[in-house]
Amino acid sequence: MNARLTPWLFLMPAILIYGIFGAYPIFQTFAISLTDQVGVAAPGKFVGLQNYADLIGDAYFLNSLKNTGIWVIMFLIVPNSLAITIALLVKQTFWGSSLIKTVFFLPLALSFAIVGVVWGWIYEPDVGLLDQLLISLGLEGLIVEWLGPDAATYSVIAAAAWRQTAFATVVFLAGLSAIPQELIEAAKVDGGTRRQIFFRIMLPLLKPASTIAVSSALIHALLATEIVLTMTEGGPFGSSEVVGYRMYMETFWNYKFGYGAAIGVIVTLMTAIMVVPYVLRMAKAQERDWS
Amino acid sequence: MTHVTTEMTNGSDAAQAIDRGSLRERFEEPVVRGSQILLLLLLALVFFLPVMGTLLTSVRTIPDITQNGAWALPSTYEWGNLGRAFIEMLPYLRASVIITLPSVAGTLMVAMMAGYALSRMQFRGRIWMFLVIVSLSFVPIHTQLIPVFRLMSDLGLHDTFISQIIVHIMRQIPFAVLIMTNFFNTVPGELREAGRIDGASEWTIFRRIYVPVARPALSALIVLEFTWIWNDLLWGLVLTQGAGKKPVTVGILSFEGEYEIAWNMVASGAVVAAIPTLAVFLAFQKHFIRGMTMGSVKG
Repeated sequence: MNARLTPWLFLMPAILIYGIFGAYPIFQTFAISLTDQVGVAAPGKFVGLQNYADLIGDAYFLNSLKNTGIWVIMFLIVPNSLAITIALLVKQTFWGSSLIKTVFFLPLALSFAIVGVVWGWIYEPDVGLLDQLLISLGLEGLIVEWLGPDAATYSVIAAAAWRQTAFATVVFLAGLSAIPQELIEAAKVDGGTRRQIFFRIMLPLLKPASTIAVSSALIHALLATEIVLTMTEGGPFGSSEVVGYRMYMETFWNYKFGYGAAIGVIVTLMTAIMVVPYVLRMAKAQERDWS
Repeated sequence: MTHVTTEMTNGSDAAQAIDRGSLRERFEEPVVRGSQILLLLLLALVFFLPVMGTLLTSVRTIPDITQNGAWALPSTYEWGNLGRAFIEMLPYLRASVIITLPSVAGTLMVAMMAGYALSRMQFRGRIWMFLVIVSLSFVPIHTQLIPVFRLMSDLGLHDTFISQIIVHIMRQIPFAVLIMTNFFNTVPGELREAGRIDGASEWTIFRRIYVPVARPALSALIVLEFTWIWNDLLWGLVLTQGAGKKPVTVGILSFEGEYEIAWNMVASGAVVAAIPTLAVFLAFQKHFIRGMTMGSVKG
């Protein structure tokens, strides 16, 4: 075998499959976004940046953009802070460790379709699990229309956060386990308080774990298509739509392929901006490994 | 919390520190530990409520739900709900199996080869290739949906298993290659050198030496890929038409539409649809967690 050719032979299947069915479509999406194509039957005609211009004045799109912003903010805060709390508690108490861990990890095994269906009827008015729970605790006053126009976005985020917390807990627990116990003991002997130990020793050492948890939260918040689709279908009246879901609707319900492609491009660009730091870090680490 | 007293002095006097430590152990520790355990249990309970509610509801009757509320213990256990849901879900479950197993196998084969080349071979453009693969693992499905849908229609592959299998392999390649590259990085290079001295070809070294040692990475990858591919919803929606080719994630949605306010059946459907990935997760939790911590941002 030719030594220079060999690596590429090993890479060939991956490059071929991804090239044809993954990479080429990415470029096509850019091209389609510059046309007014409707459906698959005929290619549309070139309209330049018209679709993007239309998006700026599209109230539905702008609303979905606003919701995606809410998703990103909530998703950065809620699952990650919950997860770090859970991870610290599990680590410090060891109480029924593996059973407790399983409880927290479990949502990871569930699809967004199932999470959506289950939480959809948790939020059901009166008969849903949440209202029933509040009633039995005597907290009827807290009940709102969970999937109504005002609360729907937050309710869907809570459902998705349930699953995201599971992921972040896994990541933070692994991060905590990597911290040498002697380091913490030494700090204790030196009279360090819990708070000092957490902020000055543990948190800095959790940086790699935090990078993973934060990147993951960002990506899931930016896309969030499947869970919105299964729980609210963007409703009521489009109030809980997110950008990714808009793309799906414009394309596969309204058959506006050109318009949908333009939204797809925007989603991709937003993701790209968010993950660039992460990608560069990984590449640098790899180069160090190889040199 | 009573940290204030200990916070004032800063550990210069070791004897004092030890003294304080024992004081803390005697008075503060039990209280803190107790409240920690309590808080953890409370969080676990809240976290588990959705699963518990679903399980409870799946085996109840509708009159029981309306009379006693959703959180009472079932007055009778209607195991038949689950059986009925299973029979109705069977075509979707079958489709999911036919789609998922070849997708996982295909992903692993392609990723092992590519990961081996990236990790073990020196060649021009290697770091760029790696950079491209890392970046591709973040590409949102949204920028591929339309052309892939069109391409599959053009190829006459719309509403087939094969189109879904190809697309899943494509989507999983970047992540799987990443994991395999990172794993092969940890395998000592002497293995390969030894093989070369014996005159073995690159392919033989890969097949006979590297594939067998990759077992720990493979088991983690299998569990993750199985769960992710099985749980996919969007491709299943976009690439299929008839019920026969739709995966169980799409099935649960039509199931929900069909039963609407028959909560017990909706819950049964959810339980039946979740069992395969739940079983895999519970059986291989260690592999699953190891895979997640091997550098993934997916979930």
